[in-house]
Amino acid sequence: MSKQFRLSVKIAFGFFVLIAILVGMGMFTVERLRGIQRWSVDESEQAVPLLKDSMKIERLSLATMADDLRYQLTGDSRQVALIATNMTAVKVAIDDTLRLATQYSLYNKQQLARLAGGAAEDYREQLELIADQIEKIAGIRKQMVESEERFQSACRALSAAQSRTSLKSFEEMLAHTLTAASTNAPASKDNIMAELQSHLKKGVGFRELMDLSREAHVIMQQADIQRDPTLATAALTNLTTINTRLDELKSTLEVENLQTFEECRKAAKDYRATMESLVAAWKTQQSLRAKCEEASSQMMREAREIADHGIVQVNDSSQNVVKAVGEAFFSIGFGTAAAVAAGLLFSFILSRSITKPINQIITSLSVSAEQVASVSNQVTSSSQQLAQGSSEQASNLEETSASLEQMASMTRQNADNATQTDKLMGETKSMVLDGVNSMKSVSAAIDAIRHSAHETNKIVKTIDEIAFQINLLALNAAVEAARAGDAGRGFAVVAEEVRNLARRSAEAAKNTASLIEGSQKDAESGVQASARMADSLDKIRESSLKVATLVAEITAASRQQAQGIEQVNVAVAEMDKVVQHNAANAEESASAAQELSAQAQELNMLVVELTELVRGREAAAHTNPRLRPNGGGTVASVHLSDPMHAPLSSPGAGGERKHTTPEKAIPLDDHELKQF
Amino acid sequence: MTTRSMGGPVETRIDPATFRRITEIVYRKAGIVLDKRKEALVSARISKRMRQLGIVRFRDYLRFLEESPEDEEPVEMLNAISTNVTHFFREPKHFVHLAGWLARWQAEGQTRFRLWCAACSSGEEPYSMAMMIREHLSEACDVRLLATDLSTHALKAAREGVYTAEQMEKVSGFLARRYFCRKNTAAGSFYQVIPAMARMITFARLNLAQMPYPMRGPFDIIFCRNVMIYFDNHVRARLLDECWRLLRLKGYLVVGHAESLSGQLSQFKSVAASIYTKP
Repeated sequence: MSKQFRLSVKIAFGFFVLIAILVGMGMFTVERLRGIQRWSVDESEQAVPLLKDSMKIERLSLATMADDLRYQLTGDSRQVALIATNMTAVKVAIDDTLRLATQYSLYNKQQLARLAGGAAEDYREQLELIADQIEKIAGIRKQMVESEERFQSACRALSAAQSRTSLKSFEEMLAHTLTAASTNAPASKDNIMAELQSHLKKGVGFRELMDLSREAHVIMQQADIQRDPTLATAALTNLTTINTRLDELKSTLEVENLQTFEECRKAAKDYRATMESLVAAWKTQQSLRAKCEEASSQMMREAREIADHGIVQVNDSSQNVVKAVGEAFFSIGFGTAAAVAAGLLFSFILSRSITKPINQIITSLSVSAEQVASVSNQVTSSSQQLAQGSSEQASNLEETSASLEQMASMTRQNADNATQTDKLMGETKSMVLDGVNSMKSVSAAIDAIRHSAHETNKIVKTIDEIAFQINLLALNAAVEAARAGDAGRGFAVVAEEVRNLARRSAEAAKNTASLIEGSQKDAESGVQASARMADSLDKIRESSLKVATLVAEITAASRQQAQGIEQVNVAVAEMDKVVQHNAANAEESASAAQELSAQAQELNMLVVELTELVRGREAAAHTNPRLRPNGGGTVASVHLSDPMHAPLSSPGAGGERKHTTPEKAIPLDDHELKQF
Repeated sequence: MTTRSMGGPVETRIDPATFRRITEIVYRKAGIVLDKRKEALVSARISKRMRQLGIVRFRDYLRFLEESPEDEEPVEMLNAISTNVTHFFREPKHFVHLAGWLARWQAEGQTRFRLWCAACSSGEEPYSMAMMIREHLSEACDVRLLATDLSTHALKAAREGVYTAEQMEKVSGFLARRYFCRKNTAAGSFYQVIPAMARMITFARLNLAQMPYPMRGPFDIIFCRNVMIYFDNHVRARLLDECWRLLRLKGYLVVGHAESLSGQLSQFKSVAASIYTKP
């Protein structure tokens, strides 16, 4: 089948062909069955009713004949009514047949039915005649029996008369014999014997007559039973013999018995006459019977012929049916065989046309699936690497971003500090100026101090001199006190105290002088220092101006830096966003790649299944062992989700990780921490 | 919960209310400040977690987070939201100083050393410190290094102590050979920290925003680098108070270069750039 057709079209075509064959076969069979039905209908509507009718006719005819026979045998007039009923039924059947024959234009059968109808009519007529005849025969038979009876009684009477005569003659003879016995004449003996013999003979003759008569009667009865007139002829022969015997007897008879004999003879004649008339009647009946039989046999023949025709027809149609059934069987068988053959052929072609491209597809599919599997594994591993890389990148950037933020805040702080410094520097500047001014007043103050120190020094010298003089006075006083003795002792103590005071005053004055001298020196150096300080302050003022400028610059720079870092930070944040998106996408695509890998695996399994479906399990196993589920080395690499841990951790660690609760891997309690 | 997302791709944008709520939770739990500009970051990091859980909408995740026991999803959420940037010998001058201090103290006769790496991330920093310790202190010294972090994932990685060649870039070949065991696999070369070095380090989860810390101290040296940048001044001040409490006299506090204690009402004395001492 061409490749241009769709699979469904191919399959539909195959089925269509099979269905067409089946439809053809079915139509043929239906046609055959319709023929069978037609014949069967013919049979059931035409042949079978005709056959039934003809059988009925035949059966009824036979029944009639049986009744007829029974009637003939028994003479029972009730049979006549039965026969009449039968004949009516026969007539009805014949009419029915005629109607059917006319209805189906079966001229032959029509003819036959008509003939049968005629025969039935004949038969009926004949039967009526026979019935009459039978009645007549019955009368004759009665007469015959009476005449036979009469003959018998006449014979008996004659025989009795003859016996009596014989007895009398015997008595005579006995008397005669007794007399003749003494003589012992042999002649008389012979006479006696002869006499005895003739008497016996007569007796026997009568007996014979009666026997003959009886025999004739029996024969007649036999003939009557057997309906055989020839037998009656034998009976007539008997009667002829009786007549002959009677004639013979007549000569031997004594006179006194003649009358009886005549009666006997007459009876015999009557008997014979009735017998003959019976025989004649029989013959008539026989001829009637013959006609009747002829009619009945004709009727039977026609009926049989119709039946035969029917049978033939039924037979024919049966044969036709058988033939048709046979043909139907044949056609169904042949058709089925043809359909099977065609089906096999088509299924072979169809399956070839389907499996061949499918096999090709499977082959290329298995190759592709394998490639897809390996490619998807590559994609998976590279996308996982990408995901990891981008995740790392994202983390790095995140850290950079966080650091930058920190830096930005530091820079901001610096800028703030610088600003503050700048402000402070301004203050410092004025403070320095204040300082310079203060310095000047300090210088003046120091000068004044020096001057006052000088003055103070003079005063101190004066005090020192006074102290010297007091000391001298105290010495004088002490001398005077010593002179005074005990009275001056108290004064001496006072003088001593005064001397002490004078000494301490001198000491203090000396100290003060040296201090003032120091102060003077200090003031001088203070003057020098203040001069230096003024210089320094001037320098400070200058440098603070410079610092202020620099700080202003720093402030500006810090602000700029902060702004710059802020910008960098914004850029990094943007970058971070993109990188995070990329990382997410990379993760997504890694996940998709893993999914793809799994799908490729699935695809492989499906291809194997398909191969099994098309080629069978064994064949499939041989075709591409690498495609067996879990058969190839492709599955393991799917788990390379974590390339750095895959070789050392258990297989599928990447998948398992999600199921293990974190504390299984890393304890969440503080036990270990507390050891530090 | 399944590994793969069932309901398709997760939402791309986080709604402001959920974002606000999540940032509140993050600040309350970890002191990490996430302002409006961090929407993309939160969205990216939470969506990763949502993908793992198979949740599509941020609002649903928030509900899940709020209904979850304290030691489950909140921990995972903080794992997801925390930033783990580190590499070996990051800001190398700090390590030079570290080596100098250790050598000096050992020369002064100190034998017991306690160090704390407050935000150890995936372990590069504590292992860098440990390498310095092993290089400059004798084997006889009693040295313990506490390494803490908020992220259990980072801690797990740190505890495993396995690094790629790329991550090992900043480690000299000499140190790498001494303190790492190289493993070659199909996926590339990996370096495993030797047990002798791993033994001196205790890894534990510590939330720096939850004071007071369970440690008693005193520590000789505290490395608390590039972590205060995520906190606001309030948390930062309290963190520094805790560091002050835990650091011995003349001990050193090392912070990140971007971090300055200036402007903080702390008693630390600056020694060098981003290095402070407890006078």
